[in-house]
Amino acid sequence: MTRKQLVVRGGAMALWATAGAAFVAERMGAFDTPPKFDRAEFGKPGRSAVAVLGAATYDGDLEGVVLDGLRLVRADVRGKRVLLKPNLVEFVKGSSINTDPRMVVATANAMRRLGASSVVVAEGPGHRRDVEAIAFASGLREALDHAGLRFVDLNDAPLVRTPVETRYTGLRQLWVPRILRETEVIVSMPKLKTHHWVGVTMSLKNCFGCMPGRVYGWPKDVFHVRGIPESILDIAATVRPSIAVIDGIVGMEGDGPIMGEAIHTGAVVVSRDLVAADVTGARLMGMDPEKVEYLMEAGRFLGQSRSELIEQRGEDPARLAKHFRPAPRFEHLAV
Amino acid sequence: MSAPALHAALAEALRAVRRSDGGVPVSLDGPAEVEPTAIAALALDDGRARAWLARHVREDGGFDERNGRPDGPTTSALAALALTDPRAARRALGYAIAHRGLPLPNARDPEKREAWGWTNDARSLTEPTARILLAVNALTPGDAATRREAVGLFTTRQCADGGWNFGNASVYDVDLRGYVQTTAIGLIALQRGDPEMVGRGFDFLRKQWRLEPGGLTVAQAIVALRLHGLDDEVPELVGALETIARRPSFREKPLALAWATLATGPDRLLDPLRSRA
Repeated sequence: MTRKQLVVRGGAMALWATAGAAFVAERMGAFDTPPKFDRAEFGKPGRSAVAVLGAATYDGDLEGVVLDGLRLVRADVRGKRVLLKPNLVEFVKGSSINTDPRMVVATANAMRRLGASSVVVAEGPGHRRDVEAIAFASGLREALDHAGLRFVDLNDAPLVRTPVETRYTGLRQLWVPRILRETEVIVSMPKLKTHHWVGVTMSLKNCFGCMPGRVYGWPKDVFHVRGIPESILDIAATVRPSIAVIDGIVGMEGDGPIMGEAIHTGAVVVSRDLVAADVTGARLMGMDPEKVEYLMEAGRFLGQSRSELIEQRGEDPARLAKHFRPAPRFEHLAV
Repeated sequence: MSAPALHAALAEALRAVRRSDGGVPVSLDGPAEVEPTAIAALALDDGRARAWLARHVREDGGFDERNGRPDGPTTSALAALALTDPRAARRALGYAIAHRGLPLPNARDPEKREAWGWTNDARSLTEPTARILLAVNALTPGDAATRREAVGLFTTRQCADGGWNFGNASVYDVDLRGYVQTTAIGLIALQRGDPEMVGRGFDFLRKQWRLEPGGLTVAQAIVALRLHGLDDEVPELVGALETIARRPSFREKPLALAWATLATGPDRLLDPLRSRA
C-alpha cells in the first residue's frame, strides 16, 4: 500500500469504520515515512516551560490562575492583537465537551491585564453550521457579550490562501480565515479530553476549528478523509498558535471528544509550546504521550515532546494527574 | 410582530447587507458568495442577486468564488434553484450531480461514488445530498435515479433519535445525536419522502428545536414545516425567530438572515423549493 492510500484509507476508516480495531492497527506507524520538508524552517525545538496550575472549580479566581500561568511561562502579549480559540464543538447540557465560557473570559481578562492591544474570541465549530445555536445554548455568547468580547465565526470568516509547508496530508495550500493571519498571538484553548480517533485531543487538535467549514465541510470532512493525525500536523503548522491554555478543570474521559463523561481534574495548563503543553496534558490524563504518534511527530519540529526538556512550573503535575478512562481502542495509551 | 411584519423587517436587513454588485456575503466583512446569494435571491425574489449568479456561473455549471477558491460542487444545486435561465439552471444542477462524494470504505463497491459530499475529495454527507435532492425534486422531477440515490443516503444515515447529523448515524457502534439544522435541511429536501422516515425526522425536530436557538436552525425548521404543510406548528417557531432576530449577532449572519427572510415570507417565495416529483 502506498503512503497516499494509507492516508486516504486511514482517514476514511476514522470517519466511518465500525471495526475500530482495524483502524488503530492501521494507524500505528503512520509516520514511519514522514513527508520531506525543511524542518529547520520551524526551528529546532529547545527547552520549553509548561505551567500547571490547580483550579478546583470555575467559580474561583480563574483570571488570577491564567495570569499566573502566563507569567510563569513568560508570555509577552503587550501591545499585541490576541485571538482566543476555544473548543466549541456542540452543546449538550451537563456535558464537558467545550471549553468552559468562564475559562474563556478569564483568559481574555488576563490578556488584557498583560497589555494585549485587543482580544477577540474565534471558533469554527466542526459539528454545527449554526454557531449561534451552540454559542447561545452553551452560555458562551452571553459570557462574551457581558465581558465586551467580540466573537468571530471562523466557518464564515473571509479567507486567504496559505501555503502548507509540511505536506502530511498532501494538501499544498489551506484556505485560512484572514483574521488568523492578521492576529499576532493565537491562543489555542482546548478542553482536556480523550478522543476516539486519535487518543487524546488538546491544543494541537483544537486547531481543526480554525479551518472553515464552507471550504472543508462539516465535520471538516476533507481532513478526516486525509487522515486526522496528518491533518493535525498540517493545520497546526500552518496556523501556528503561540500559546496554549488548556481547560482541564473538568475534562472528558472515555468516548471523547463528544460522547465521553466528565471527569474533574482541577488543572489548567499554560505554555508557549503547544506540543509541550499537550504532552503535559496527556500525563495529567494518565496517558503515555510517547504512545501518541501525532504528538511525537509534532515533537520533531513543532515543539518539545521530550519530558527531560520540558520544565514543569507551578504545581507538580503528578499531584493533579488522574487516570482518565481511555477512548475505546486506545487502552494502550494508559500508563 | 406578525409574520408579514417580521418578513418585511428581515428583508430590509437582508437588502442592507447585499453588495452593490447584487451578491450577498456570508460574513459582513467578506465578499459576496454563491450560497447566501442564491438563498437571498429566493427570499427577496431578487433580480439583482439572480443576475449575480448568472454572471458568476461557469460554462460547466460550477462556480468560483471571487478570491479564486473553487466552490463545493453542490452549491451549484442551490444556485440552480435561483437562476432564471432554465438552461443555466440545468447546467448548474448537472454539474452538481456529476460531482459525487467519495464512497464509504465499507461500501460494497469501494470504487463507486454514491450521493454527494462538501467537496470532490470528501465523503457523501447529509447536507450536500439534501441540496441535490431539493434541486432535482424541484427542477428535474423525472430524474428518479438521482432521487433514489439521494434518498438512499438519508435512509442509511438517519440517527436512532430520528434526526440527521453531518456524519454518520453511529461510530464504533455508539449511536450519535441528530442535529436540528441538519435535520431541517434534510426534511426540506425529503418532500413526499417515506412517511415513516419523515415522521421520525419531524418528531426529532419538534422535540429538539428549542434547545438549538440559532437563526439558521429555526429558519430552516420553519421552511421544512411549511413545505410539508405543517403550518399549525409554525407560529411558535416564528415567535422564536423574532426573538433571535433581535440579537445583534443575528444580523451579522447573512445566510441565516436570508433563510429567515424566506421562512417568514409569502407562500410564493417557497414555490421554487417545492417538489414536483
